[in-house]
Amino acid sequence: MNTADFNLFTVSVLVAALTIVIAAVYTLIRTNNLIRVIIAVEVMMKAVTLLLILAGLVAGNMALIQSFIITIIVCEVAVAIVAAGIAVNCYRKNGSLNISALEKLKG
Amino acid sequence: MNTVDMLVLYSFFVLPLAAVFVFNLLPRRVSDKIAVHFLTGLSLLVLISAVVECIQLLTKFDYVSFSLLWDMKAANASFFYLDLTSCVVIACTALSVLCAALVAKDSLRPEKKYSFVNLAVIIMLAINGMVMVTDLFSFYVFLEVAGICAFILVALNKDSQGLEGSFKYFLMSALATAFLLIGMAFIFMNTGSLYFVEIQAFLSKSYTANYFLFQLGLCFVLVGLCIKAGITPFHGWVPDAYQSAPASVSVLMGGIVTKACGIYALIRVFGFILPDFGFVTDILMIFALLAICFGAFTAMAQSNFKRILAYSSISQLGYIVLAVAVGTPLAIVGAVLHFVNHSLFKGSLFVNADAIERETGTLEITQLGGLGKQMPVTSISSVLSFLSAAGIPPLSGFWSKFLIILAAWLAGFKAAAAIALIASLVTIAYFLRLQKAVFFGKSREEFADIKESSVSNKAAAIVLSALTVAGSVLIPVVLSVLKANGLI
Repeated sequence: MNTADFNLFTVSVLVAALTIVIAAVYTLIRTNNLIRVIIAVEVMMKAVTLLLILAGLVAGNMALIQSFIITIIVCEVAVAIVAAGIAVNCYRKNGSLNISALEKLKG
Repeated sequence: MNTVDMLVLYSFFVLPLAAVFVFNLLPRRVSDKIAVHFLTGLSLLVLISAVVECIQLLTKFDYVSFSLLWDMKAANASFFYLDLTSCVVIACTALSVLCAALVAKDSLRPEKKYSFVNLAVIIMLAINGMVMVTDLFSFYVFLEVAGICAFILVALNKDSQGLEGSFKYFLMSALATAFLLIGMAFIFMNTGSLYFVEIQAFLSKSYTANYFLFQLGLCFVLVGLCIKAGITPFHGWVPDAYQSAPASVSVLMGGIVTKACGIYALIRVFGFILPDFGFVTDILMIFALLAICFGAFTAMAQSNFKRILAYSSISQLGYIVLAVAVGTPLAIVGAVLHFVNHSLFKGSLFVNADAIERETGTLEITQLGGLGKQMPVTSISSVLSFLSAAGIPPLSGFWSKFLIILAAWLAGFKAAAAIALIASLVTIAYFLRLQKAVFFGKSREEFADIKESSVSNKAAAIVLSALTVAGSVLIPVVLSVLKANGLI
C-alpha cells in the first residue's frame, strides 16, 4: 500500500464509517433504552463492516474480505439474538426497558 | 506424525465438537441425568491429552502445526499451530471446566444442567480453537463464540442480578469486538493480510513504509483486548459479571474465560509476534500499573466475597500485562506461569465461595465469621490459594510473581517493579481481611450447625490447592528445563 491509494473516494468512505462509529458510541452513551443500546451496537458493527470493505479495496484483496464479512454478519446476528433475549428477560423481571433499572450491582 | 500424536491433537478440537453433537442427540431424559458426569469425563480426557502434549513439547521444545480434514500444504490454507504456550492454556481450560463441572454437580438447579454442559463444552471448544489459530480473523470468530456462550452462562438462572451482569458484559464485549475489528481493518489496509507470520514479515522487511495505519490499528486491537480482559480503564463489567453469575459459571469465568479471551491474545500478539513495539509497550505498562494498583486498593473496600475476588482478578491480570509490556523472554515465561497460577488459585477461591454461599446463604463478609472450624477443607484451601495469590514462598504464585518483578527490574523498569512489589503487599492485606472475616474470629450462633460442603465441591478445592502446592516444586523444574534449552 502507498499513499496513492487514498483518493477522494476512499477517504470519504473512511470518514463516513468513522462518523457512523462515533454516532453509535454517542447513542450508547446517551440512551436509556435497552433496545436502543442493541440497535446502536448493530449500527456500529455495520460501520465496522464498511471499514473492512474499504480495507479490502485499499489492500487489493477483496476475495478474502468478502469471506470475512459473511462470517462477521453471522457472528453479529448470533450476538444480537442473545442480547435481545437478555433484554426481553430484563423487561419481564423489571417491567421496564429502562437502563437505570439495572443498578442492583454496586460495590 | 504417528497415530497417537494425531489422536492427541484431534482431541483438542474434534473431541469437544463431536461431544456437543452426541450430547444433543441423546434423549433429553438421559442427557439431563448424565449431564455433569459427561462434562467431567470430557474435560478429564482433554486435560490428560493436553498434559501429555505439554510434556512432549517441553522435552522436544518444538511446535506442531496440523489441519483437520483439509490439506495444509495447499496455497493459503489455514491450519492450527500449537506451541507450549497454547498447550498450557488448553490444559488450564480443561482443568477449569473440570472444576466448574464438579461445582455444578450440587450447586446448579437440575433443569439448568443441560444448558450449562452444552455451553461449557462450546466454550472449551472455542478457547481451544482460539489458542491454536494462526490469523487474527479466525481468532475473532472463536472469541465471539466464547463471548456469546459466556453471556448466556452469566444469565443462566434468569434472576435479575444475572441478567444485569450479563447485559453489562454484552455491552462491553460488543464494544471490544468493534474495536478489534476496526483495528484489524486498519492493519489489513497496511499489510494486506491478517496472518501472524505475514504481519511479522511486513514489519521486518519494510521499515520505510507508511506505518501510521498499522500503528493506529494496533492501538484499536490493544484497547479491544484490554476490554475483553477487564484491565483497569475498562474493568467496569468484571465485578458485576463475576458477582451475579451462578457459582459454577464464576469458576469458569474467573478461572479461564476472561484470561483466555483477553490476556492470552495480548501475550500472543504483543509478547510473541510484536515484542518491543515502541509506544505500545508504554501504553501496556500504564494500563498494567493502573490495573495492579486500582484492583488491589478497590478490593480492600469491598464487602462481597465474589466482588473481592473479581477486583483481585483485575489486579492479578495487571501483573500478566506488566510482564507482556516488559517483553523479555524471562517476563513472557513469568506471564504464562502467572496465567496458570491465576487459574489455579482464583478457581480454588471461587470454589470456596460456592461452598460458603451454599452452606450459609450469604457472601457478605460482614455477616460471616468463624467458619474455619466447621469447614476445614474450604478454609485450608482458601488460605493456601490466598498465600499463593499474595506470592508467599514457596507456593507456586511466588515463582511467577517473582519472575515478573525480576524481569521488570532487569529490563530497567525499576519503578514499575517497585510498584508491583508494593501492590503485592496490598494483596496480602485484602486477603487477610477476607480470611479473618470469614474463617477466623469467633463463630456466630446462627452458623452453629454449618457443615463442610459436598464431596464434589471438596474434590475441586482439594485438586486445585494440591496443584498450587505441587507448583512450588514443579515450577523450578520447568524453569530449569527452559534454562537448559537456552530460552531464559
